[in-house]
Amino acid sequence: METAVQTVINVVLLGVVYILMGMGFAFILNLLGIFNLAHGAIFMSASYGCYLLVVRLGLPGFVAFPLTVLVAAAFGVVVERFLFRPMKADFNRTMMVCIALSTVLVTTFNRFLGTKVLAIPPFIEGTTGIGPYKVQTDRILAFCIGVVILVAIILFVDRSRWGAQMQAVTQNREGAALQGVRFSRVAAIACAVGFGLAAIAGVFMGSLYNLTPFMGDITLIKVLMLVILAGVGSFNGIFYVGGLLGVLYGALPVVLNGAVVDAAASIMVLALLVIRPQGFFGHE
Amino acid sequence: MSEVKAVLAPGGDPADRGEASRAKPRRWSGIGAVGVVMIVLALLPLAISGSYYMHVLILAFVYVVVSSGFRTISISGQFNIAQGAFMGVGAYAAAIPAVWLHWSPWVTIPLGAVAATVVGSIIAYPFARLRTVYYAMGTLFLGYVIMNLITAGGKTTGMSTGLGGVQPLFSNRTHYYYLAFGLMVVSMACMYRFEFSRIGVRMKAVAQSHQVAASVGIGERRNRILAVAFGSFFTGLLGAFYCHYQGVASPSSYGLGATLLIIMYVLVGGLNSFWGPSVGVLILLVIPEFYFRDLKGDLPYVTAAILLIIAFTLPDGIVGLVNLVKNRIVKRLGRGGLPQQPEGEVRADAPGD
Amino acid sequence: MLLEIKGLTKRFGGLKAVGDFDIHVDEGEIVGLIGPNGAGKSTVFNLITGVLPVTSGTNMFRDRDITRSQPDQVAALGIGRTFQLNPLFPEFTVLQNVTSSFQLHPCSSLFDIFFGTPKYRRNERFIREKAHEILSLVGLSKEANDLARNLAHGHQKMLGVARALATKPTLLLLDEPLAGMNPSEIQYSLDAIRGMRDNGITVLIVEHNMQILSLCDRVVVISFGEKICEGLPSEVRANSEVISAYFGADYVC
Repeated sequence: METAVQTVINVVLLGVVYILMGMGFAFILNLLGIFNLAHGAIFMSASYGCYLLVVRLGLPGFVAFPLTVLVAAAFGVVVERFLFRPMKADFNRTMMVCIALSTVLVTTFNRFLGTKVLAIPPFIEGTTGIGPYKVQTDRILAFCIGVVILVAIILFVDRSRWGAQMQAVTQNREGAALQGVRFSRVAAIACAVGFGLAAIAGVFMGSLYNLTPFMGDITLIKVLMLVILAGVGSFNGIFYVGGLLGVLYGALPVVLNGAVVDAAASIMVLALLVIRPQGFFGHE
Repeated sequence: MSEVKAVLAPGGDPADRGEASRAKPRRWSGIGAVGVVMIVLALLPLAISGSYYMHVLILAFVYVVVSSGFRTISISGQFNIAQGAFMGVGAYAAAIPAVWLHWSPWVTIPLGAVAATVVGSIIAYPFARLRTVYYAMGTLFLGYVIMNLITAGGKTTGMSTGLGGVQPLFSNRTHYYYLAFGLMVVSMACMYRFEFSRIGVRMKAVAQSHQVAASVGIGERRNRILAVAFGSFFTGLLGAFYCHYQGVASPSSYGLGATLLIIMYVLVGGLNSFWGPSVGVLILLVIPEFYFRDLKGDLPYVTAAILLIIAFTLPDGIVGLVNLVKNRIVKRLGRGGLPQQPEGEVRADAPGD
Repeated sequence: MLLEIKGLTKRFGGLKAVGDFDIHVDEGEIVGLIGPNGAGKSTVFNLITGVLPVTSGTNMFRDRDITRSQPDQVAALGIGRTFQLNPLFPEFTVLQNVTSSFQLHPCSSLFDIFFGTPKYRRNERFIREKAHEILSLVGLSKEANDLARNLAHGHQKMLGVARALATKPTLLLLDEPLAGMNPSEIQYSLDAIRGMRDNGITVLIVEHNMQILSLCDRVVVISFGEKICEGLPSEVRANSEVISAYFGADYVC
């Protein structure tokens, strides 16, 4: 039964990771028209960054976590301004920039920390009893933070002015510009939010599993899976499908071989791509 | 408007209208340059026989073809981020019968090419309705799925450690060198023909506007599948050769990392010119391996810097720069622009719209 | 009857863009399909050429059902068309735009093309000649080696026509050939269209510019996706329903 509670928490955390990554990726894709190949690298860097802050600098987790996210968001603004914007959404050029960015980040972390087995230490030690079962307090905390962040994201997208502007630009860039939405500002916000969300996801992942410099690649693939399933341009879809992937990868490996789950899911997505290229929740 | 009749009347046998349209200067200089490079490469083993340099060049030949295969697919507007996996399909299709059935490499290498073509065309069918960014996303995922399925094959494919014991073709590296060289020359010649003939024109037309192309009878799906089939044939061929050369088919050689490497070669050299991928391989693979081996760990930084410089200043890659300089010089000399291209050539191509 | 369309209907979700639309075109005619902006004229073209899937109805071309055909198959059967916007391959030169459109006649097999057989070379030479002829016909000879995207708007439209002619169509669908042209270009285009008809090409024109009426043998008026009248240009000009569709009901006396 303890595994059951543990599994539920894992499912939620993984789901949160996928949703956050998917949202950030979709923001950048929909608003800037950029296929951000470096999204996985940002995620991985945030993981390592938080690790360094906690272990090397000895900062408490509650400081290190928000600090990582803020730095990532600021980095997003810088990248948008100096790398993405000059490319004018040209596909080949943005591809080069993203590959360069990703290469630099992966190489750096691989070189200095790649050989060691690392994990972000728990923010809080000890266990807590949920009814008769004992669960690590750290996980419960992460669970709560995850839920709070999800609610915050929903509120941000649906209720805030920035969120409304972003949705407007997604649907019709010229129309939004006529309504006085400044595209450069929206793009900067999208990148900041996108990178920030990737950082949150990275810290979560880093507290769940060991760090590797290549963790970003596999997560990027999962994100593509998510975006393809949800349908491009559908923010709601990302929530549902992210949850689904959380269950798939958080719960099923407990009873099934992980490779089988992965292969089955992959084929399912390919099949969907054939039957319904606009995704479950997309519209053409 | 009586001329209309002449234009639209059935032309009779085109042979009757033999008078050649304006004769255009053949690009002897280009042919000469290619010839010189080929002779140098053919004679090079005399100087560097058996050395590490030879290994580097064999690798370079493989990547020249594979990256050019990527570009061949891209002229129809498809940015295929599964190129490494197509190479992997060729490699495993050769390695599995070679290891388990002891088939001769002379059978398994063509088999690899055919397998890559078949897999490529089957996949191209559903993907032919995706465009630009979505096509790229779809194929990136696809590459992962292909490698995933291959490694899920259990003992047959050697799982994630790879399938070792693929029998070698020769014992002498020089023989490998000449085989790789020959395969490269033939593949490049075929891809050149493909691009600079009416087929290539169709591909480029589809890439620029699939609607306009369809209105003149150039079907989008058919041509995009053809491009993938053609490009993946040579990709699979060299993939199969590569695994026989290495003696092992390992998934890490064909994953996302390999694909990104291929994309880097193509983009740095220039996606819009036929020789772009070759120049990219020269700059990012051959030169560093020849002259900067001690810098191995820092090489990715150099690569990244080159990519950024190209992205900011030379969207058409190094070959774009060469053309620019050439144009300037020609203009200075007062001859007004580049000489006319040979018959039927279409140079301008823009993948995606 | 060359083209016969019966009961053509297209719905986008709940919205009916074209409803139960009939039109037929006889060989050698110039037929105008006119109507105010947003009436569904271009949609009809896209339905005929297979760009959009038809909801219901049948399209017959030379007694062949083309309702479900793909755009390239429709083109291969002999229906050429032009586009209102971006009617060309922007990265090709003007000449290449036309030569690349010669996919259908004369046809070289993939084998011939790939190995550059004498037959292929002959065909290519022939195509280039023909392309030059077509270009001089539409008045673009001088621009033959310019990049298509650098052409002026009127020239781009003429290039669109040249491309369509290169497919050697039996039936030519012109989508707003006069839009955005100045008066002298309009006169030139009208002459050119008449010239095409005189040489055996049947023409179906979508236009909202009423100047086209002088050219047409027969006019079909469409408004809100439905046919409101059909007849000779003079009849249509006098038809009160047409006037109300164009100018609003208040103008009908």
